[in-house]
Amino acid sequence: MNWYRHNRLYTLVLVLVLLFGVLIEIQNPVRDSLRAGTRSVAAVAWVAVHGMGNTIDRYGGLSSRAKLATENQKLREEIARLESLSLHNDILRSENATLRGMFSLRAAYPEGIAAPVLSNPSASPYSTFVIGSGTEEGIKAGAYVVSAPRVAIGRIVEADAHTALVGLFSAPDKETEVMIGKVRTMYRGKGDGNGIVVVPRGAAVALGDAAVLSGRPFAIGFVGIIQSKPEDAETTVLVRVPANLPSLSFVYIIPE
Amino acid sequence: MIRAFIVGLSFASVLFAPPWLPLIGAGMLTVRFRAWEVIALGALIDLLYVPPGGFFGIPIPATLTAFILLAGFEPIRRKLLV
Repeated sequence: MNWYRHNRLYTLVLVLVLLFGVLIEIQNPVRDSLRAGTRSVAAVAWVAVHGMGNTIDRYGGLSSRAKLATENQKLREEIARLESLSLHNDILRSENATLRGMFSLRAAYPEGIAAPVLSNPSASPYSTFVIGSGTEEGIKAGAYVVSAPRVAIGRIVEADAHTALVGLFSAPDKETEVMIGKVRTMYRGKGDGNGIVVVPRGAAVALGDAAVLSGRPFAIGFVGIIQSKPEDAETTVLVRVPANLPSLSFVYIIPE
Repeated sequence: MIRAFIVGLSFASVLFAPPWLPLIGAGMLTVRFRAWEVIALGALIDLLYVPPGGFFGIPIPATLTAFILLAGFEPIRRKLLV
């Protein structure tokens, strides 16, 4: 009897899970609200942790109380002038330096928008990450996400009011048409910022060549390893994203 | 107490840690308990990160994985943990 009751319970839960799947799959306002609300709540946690991380980095990590008191006394005596700078200004300066790096992108693409990265790309099992700008800031699905001048790492796949989801080109089994030199081929993502392309044996592909999006001035990676066997008619090329994805703090969004 | 700790750690790791950490947490919970909160854990992952069109065509892979873990470990829970 117990077994029968448990089986009915699992069946009921399975039905609820499948209904949840249908709700997520079909475009509807409930799904959009649920996702936007979840990301908004998560954004609060991400921003709070980023702030705490900056604080820990600023003061050189966790220390004992006595050690901090001694260090504080030393700093007060030796660098009295620097004590007038607030922690908030230091963090703003650090963010400012990152944004200044984006300025060169701004010059090239004035229509673009700089957006903060909220979630760690390695936290998602689907090669996606969340940014802190959305439709209210002018972000639309399909826009290119650029981490450095002429290097695109993904596209906006979904945009809420104040957050958006970025899908990486290197997502597992995602295919993107690229050009490597004069060779047109399909880039297939393998996750973790890597992907492979297969080109005809003898194609003019060399280490360091850029894999450029077809019809767009953006590279999505650079040739890292070329694997070729004499008996094969094709050559397998490993393409790497030239960005340390977990360390990204800002990205630049360029409309499609 | 332990259950609450693992649940809290798993939910926090969804936001900040690689995906294998919440997976291990879910596994530990479902082996020991009939932990329905694991399904909520999977749903959170899917609500936050799954792209439109799903992952390999599956709209809620993490939620389904959580359910499979929960239901799949039921015989183990009954046999080993009387």
